[in-house]
Amino acid sequence: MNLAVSIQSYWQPACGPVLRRLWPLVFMLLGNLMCTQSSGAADAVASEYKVKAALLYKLTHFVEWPESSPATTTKEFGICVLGENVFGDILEPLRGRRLKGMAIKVDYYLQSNEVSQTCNLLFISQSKRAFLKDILNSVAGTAVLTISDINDFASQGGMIEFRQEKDSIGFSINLEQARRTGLTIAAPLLQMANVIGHSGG
Amino acid sequence: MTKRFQLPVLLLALLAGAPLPVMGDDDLDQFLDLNMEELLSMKVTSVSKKQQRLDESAAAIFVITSEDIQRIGATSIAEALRIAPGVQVAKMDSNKWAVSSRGFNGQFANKLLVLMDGRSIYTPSFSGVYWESQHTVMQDIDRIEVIRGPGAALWGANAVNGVINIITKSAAQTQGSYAQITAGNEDEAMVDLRYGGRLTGSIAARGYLSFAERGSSYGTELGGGAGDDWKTMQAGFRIDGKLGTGNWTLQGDIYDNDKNQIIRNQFLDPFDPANNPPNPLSPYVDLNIPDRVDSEGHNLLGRWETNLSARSVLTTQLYLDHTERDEFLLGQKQNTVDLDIQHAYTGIAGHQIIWGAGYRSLDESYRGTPSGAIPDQDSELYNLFLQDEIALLENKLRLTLGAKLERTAYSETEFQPNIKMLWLPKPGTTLWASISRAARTPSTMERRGVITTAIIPTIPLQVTVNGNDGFESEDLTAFEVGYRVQPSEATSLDIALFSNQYSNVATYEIVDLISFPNPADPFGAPLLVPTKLNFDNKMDATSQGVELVFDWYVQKGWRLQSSYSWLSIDADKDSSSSDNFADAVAENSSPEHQVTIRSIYDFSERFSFDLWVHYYDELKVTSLSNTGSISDYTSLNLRLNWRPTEALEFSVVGHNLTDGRHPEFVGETYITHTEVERSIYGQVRLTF
Repeated sequence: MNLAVSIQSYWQPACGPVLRRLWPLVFMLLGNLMCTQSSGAADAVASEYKVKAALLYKLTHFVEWPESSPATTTKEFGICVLGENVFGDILEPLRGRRLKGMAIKVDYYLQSNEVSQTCNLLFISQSKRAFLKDILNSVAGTAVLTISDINDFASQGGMIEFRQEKDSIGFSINLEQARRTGLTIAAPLLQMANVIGHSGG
Repeated sequence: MTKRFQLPVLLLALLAGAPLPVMGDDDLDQFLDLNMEELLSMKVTSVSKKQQRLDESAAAIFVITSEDIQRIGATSIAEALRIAPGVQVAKMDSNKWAVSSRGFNGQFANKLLVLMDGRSIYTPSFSGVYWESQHTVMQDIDRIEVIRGPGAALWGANAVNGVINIITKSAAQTQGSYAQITAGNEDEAMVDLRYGGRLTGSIAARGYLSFAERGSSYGTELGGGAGDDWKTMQAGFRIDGKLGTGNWTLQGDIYDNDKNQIIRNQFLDPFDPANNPPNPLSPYVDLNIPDRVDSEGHNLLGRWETNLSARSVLTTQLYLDHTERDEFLLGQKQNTVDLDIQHAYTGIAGHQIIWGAGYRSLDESYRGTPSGAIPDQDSELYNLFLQDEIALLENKLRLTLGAKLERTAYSETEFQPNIKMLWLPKPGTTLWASISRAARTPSTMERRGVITTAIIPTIPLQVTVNGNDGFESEDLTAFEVGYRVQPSEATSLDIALFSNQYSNVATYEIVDLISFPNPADPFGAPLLVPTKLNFDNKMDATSQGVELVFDWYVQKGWRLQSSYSWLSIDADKDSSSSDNFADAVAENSSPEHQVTIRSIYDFSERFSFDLWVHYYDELKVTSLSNTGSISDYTSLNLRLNWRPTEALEFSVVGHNLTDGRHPEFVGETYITHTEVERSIYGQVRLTF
């Protein structure tokens, strides 16, 4: 069978001839599982919210919270998700890790009026986009870093917006919004982002 | 492997021919070691994301979550379906359920596709589901997606009035030990044990054992126990791995169930000398005979999902399924081998394409009796489908075009197209409309079977309903519109309206009649009695309905969910039809009005109290062979749950608390009529 030969030619030499000679279906199912080496991260394909979860964690290293805020005075670093839990259990491994000398806690909220003052970071799910204005107003006075993948989140008054680039994830930062609540965002992060609302001060 | 597998193998080979280096769904920890630049340059699959948000899907969909299942205290999958709008669930006896969507309910309801982790669980002999044999640890069910209306363009055979998709949690989500013990007056004793662990860092597994002993219901005609108590034993496993180019799952179950039933009228062979001379009180019929349904089965399923690129996901699934069911009426054995491939592709801007193919081999064998018989059967089923969701206006307007070609042993190639439009006028508001065609392909019984429905003792002669080689698929053209809105952050409303037009619906046509003198009036007109009927397609039907769900998150810890369903069916027999029953059953076997109100309340982190009220309208006729109606009823169900520690939970659940007992449905002739009784049980759950 010509086709079988052409399939085999794609296979890496690391896979032994025994596997190759097997019946094509078994070959493909098992061959693909066992023979493909996991290569570097750059050309791999990852699940979207796993990358977003890692970005949430990494971003915090570039952000300073004002010392007086409730989020800083508690002993825990609050990572909070509002709306549909799009992360599933992806964020769970963060629990107990330490960030800025605090233990991370992860909380999920269905309603914006329940969101605790002790959240350092609030991820707003797309399920809440109909109520985005109200939600942003309700947290406007607190030093909480708002992040979302809702379209135009940054221009509507959110702080960090994850955007879908061609095949990867990019982000926009609304710097003015962050400064208004006393958050400081370090320059290296701004260089990686598309900064909007840059007042130059 | 036989030659018949070559086509799918070739398709698979074409798709899998150039595997790309793809990283599986690795642990978050691995990602946390990367720096920002590396994360931002990482290719992210856009395909899974394209799986529609539920509130933005152009279909009438309702999801029963794992929490819903716990909080209504459902001890079986069929009972959990009662909270879904537009779905009819009725208990025929302790171990039999009639379940349908958008009407046409019956003991042998045949217009639903039911999948358990991708494995079709309807029985080919009658194209329906033996719900009592479908089980797993209820705690391990992640969700049940209930899609009313035809799902024929994407899903497998039989997706006419709805698709029920039972999805279990992954092995990674069920790690550790879990034990659940239940004891009550109806659900007498149940034990569920599950253990989940990791085989390697990236391979998670679980295994479970489930035992249940359930009591009998009330026998209306017997004036006491209906003799329908039952025992089930089941074990199973699931292994999920992340290796090489994607995710894979291997899972299987094995069960052995013994279900008692009392046969109202067990027909005897009038030509067997052992039955002659007949008993003068019930000639050639034994009445109220205790019988046991012996059912067992096992299945094994493998699924492999691989990211060919960031915009291309290929899923391959193969399963083997064996079921056996032996009872007085019939002995059945079915072996199924099923291979499906599905490819989701988002590489063309503005298009989300899913296409795939399926192959199923069915090997059926039967043990006939004087009451019914089906010849042994080997058959194959093929399907091919394509769906393209086109973004006409980004984030505003989407058009979906889809079609499926399906061929079974008993049907021509069925073309089942659909067209759907979705409009998102503003965030939180969705309007959708769809037109689709679906075919309900013939069951083995309708083509080849024979069922005895009566015996005329004086001749003697059996009255039979016979399979018909000319029996065709039933056709449905469905028109649906829907509206979803979130008036506030705490409320949401989902309305679906439909109008279904069926043609070629099954009827029972008289083929032979005999006439004999009327014993009451020997000199008058003779009595004409049909002796042979054939399955045929001489009926059209239309149905209309509205389904409404209102969710209200009253305050932290308190949620109200209510639903209302209205359904109306009109059936019209062809003028050439001699059928006397089919239209009345179609019109009357499903409730016109159904209401559900649930209050889900947490007193505190440790205590919760749930209330669930359910109204089910009257059913005027529920079976071809029995007249007599079922009154409407309201059932009150409560659950109190206490969680003293993270690992330990106690609950007390009461179902049907307002009345001692009520009938829900009368099945076909052979089972005794029963009533569902008040049920109270206690449950202990331990996680360790």
